[in-house]
Amino acid sequence: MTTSVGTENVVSLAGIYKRYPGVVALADVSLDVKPGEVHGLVGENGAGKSTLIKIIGGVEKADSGLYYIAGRPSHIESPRDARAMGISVLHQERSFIPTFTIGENVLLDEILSSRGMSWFRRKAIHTRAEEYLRLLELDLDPAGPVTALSAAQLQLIEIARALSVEARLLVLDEPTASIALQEASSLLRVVRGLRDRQVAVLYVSHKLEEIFEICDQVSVLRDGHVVARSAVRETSRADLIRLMVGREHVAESLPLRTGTTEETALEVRDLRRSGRKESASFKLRRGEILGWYGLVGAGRTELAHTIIGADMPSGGQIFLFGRPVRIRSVAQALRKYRLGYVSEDRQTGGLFLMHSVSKNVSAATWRSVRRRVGLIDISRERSRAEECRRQLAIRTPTVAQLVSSLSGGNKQKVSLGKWLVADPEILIIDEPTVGIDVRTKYEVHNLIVNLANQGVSIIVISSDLVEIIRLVDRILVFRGGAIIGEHVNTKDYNAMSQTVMADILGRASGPLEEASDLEHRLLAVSTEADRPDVG
Amino acid sequence: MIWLLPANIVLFAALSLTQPRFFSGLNFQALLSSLAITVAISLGQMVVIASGGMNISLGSIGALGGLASCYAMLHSGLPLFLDFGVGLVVGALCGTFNGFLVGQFGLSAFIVTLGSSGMFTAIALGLTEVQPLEGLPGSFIRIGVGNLGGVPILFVFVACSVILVAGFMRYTGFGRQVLALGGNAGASQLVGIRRRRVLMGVHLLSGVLAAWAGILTMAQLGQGQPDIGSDWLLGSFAAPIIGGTLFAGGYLSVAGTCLGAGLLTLVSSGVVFVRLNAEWVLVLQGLVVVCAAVLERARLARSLRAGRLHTYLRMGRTGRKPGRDLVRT
Repeated sequence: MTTSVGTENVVSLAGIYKRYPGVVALADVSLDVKPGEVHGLVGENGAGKSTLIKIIGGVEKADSGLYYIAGRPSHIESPRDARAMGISVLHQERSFIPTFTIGENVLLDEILSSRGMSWFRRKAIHTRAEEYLRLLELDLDPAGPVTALSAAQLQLIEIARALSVEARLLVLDEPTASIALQEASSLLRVVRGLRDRQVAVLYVSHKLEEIFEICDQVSVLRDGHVVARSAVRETSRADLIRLMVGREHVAESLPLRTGTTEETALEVRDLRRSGRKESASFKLRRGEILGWYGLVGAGRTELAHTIIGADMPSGGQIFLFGRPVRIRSVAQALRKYRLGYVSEDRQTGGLFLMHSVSKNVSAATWRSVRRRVGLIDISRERSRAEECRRQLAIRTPTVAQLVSSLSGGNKQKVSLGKWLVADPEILIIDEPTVGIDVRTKYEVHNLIVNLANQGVSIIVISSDLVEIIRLVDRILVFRGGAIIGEHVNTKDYNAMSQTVMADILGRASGPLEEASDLEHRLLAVSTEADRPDVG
Repeated sequence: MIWLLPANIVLFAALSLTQPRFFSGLNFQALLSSLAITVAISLGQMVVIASGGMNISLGSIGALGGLASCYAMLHSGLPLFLDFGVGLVVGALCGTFNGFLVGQFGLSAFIVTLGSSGMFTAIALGLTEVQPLEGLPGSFIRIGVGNLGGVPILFVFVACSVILVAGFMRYTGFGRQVLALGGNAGASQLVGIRRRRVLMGVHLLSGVLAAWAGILTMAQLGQGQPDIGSDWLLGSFAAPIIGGTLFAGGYLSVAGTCLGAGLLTLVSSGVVFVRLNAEWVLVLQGLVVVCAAVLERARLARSLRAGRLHTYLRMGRTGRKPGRDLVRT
């Protein structure tokens, strides 16, 4: 070991270039991370963050540039090399082994990098994995199956895995994309603990409030360039957003919508999921945007699945435009009732990554681009995809491009587009903007409003309170599988967020003085740091 | 495969009750030998399936490995166990050839092993001029037909290899890496698995197991038949798949494979006892495979619909401990 001075950089990148066919992903990128520093990395989707992280983690190799670890030039060829050099990476892509137990997934790095003949006992693995689970306050049995977990829990498992490598640099790429405030707070606590132990952390997030809460330094990437780096203390949310999008930020709030009809498009009465006691009742008016807010795991996605026929209800009724219906499958929901559902898991569940944009767009509706003899009309398919690309501003050279080559936000737009061309009357959109950048987010919001203005009735499921209050007309609050509150949205962030959070915390309304420490924190994070443009 | 053990018992009981000669010590020995060979064949396929691949050349490697051992017995003058070693090394080389092509060039295991199967078969037939190797040492033939206290020696040998393979896949880093690669290749690569090495290793293992099965088959036959592997393919896939090994990879069950092999053995034995034509063996075994696939498919679909792959794999209940809920909402 070289004696490392406290200020020496753990990792130092200089002049990194990376080109992919047709794009320059990174151009002259430099980045220094010091021990005991939490370094934020922000930027829009497609700005090059993930590429940079893949280079740091040894998944990809830079075309040119220098990469120093602890002051010495390093030639990292693979994730194994990176880990051997003390670099642990949580990638944005979910990477767990479905046939392994929770504990085995936590210690996956160790299992996969072990020598072939090293000996493993499940019990020993589980005992050690449990320590890391406890670190994140996860009350999970390490011997349990990983496929029983929710998206949020899976993400925490992967964070536990990143922690299991005793690293000098921990890279977290969107660690909180699908987890709720409370779980995020235990992650933030762990990150602070690591910082105190002189571990360096590179923290990538779209949630700027997290950047402000735990990062010391922040670097902003835009179009493959580092456009700014500064101490977090000396910057503001507005600065960061401006640097990320490269222009002054457009108006934050959307106007209150008027002219929602009184006609009921969808009514659900006492709908019950099999195996659950709670039942749900609500109405969705024609042309209305209804928001479903709740913490992750509050039962919103499950209710949506029950409505669209992916899961069978054990009781209750569904009415569409006043007529009772029985929806047996997702295909029937779409074809017969024109009821579409855009799933939460768009990266893998909603797209055919190996297919082109245009094939993906017509995947749900190939019947409508079919000629009489049953062959697909390629030119019609393409022209519809073009239209969709224009409408959604999907950034791709042509619609013949494979979806796998698009950035995250653009993948999401394609997935949304697939349902839009299906021309639904009712659309349920689950987490429309998770993990996408501010500009794309607002484009998606505008799109949803336009659809509603055209008379489409829309349910938006979101765990992002800012998004809910910005976008929807009426809010239903979910907790523990039940609808516990309904509020007409005034789009006044302060008032609405207080009301909604009071529901979530189990209070009718009123003073927050009684709230426990944790709840205070929860409220503080969600109502202050989360508020648009505090800086 | 919860139904597999009862199915074995029912079939066994039915044959015992209806066929008086079925329930005899001699027949049990024959059954156990035949079971042992089927299990030995299936193991070599099971490990590759678990990695997300397959080995079409299993039978031809078996023939080649077995023949190499027989040659060594006839011509080398080495002790018997070293003659075995010669066959196993040949199997390892064939497997490494497959593994190299699959791992290095990212070719599909199906294409590679289909091609190499033709090559290995041709070599086996060419070297022997399609004549069986006769005059094998008596000690070797005794392994194929002898028994220890009523239990066929073959069965004992295979039981040992079953335990070895099960332990190897369950407890070693290599075994875990094979399962991880089969379970989620993309994730394994992000985590830094050495894909080439693991694929090479698992094909090597498959080759060794195939050669081992070939050697034992030749011991049972008492001669070096160059075409022994030609009918291995169905059984080698059938036993693991019936036994619950995921065809997509990532999960294997050694016990299930043995029970699946048991079912196949009872079916073929039953056909002999009720004096059906020999073709019925394949018809019925094929039927068992298809039925098993349909049943499991339905169960898998049910588990996946509920978002619970683990109930399909019988990996236990939810990962949540009683008491506190993870997300308090």
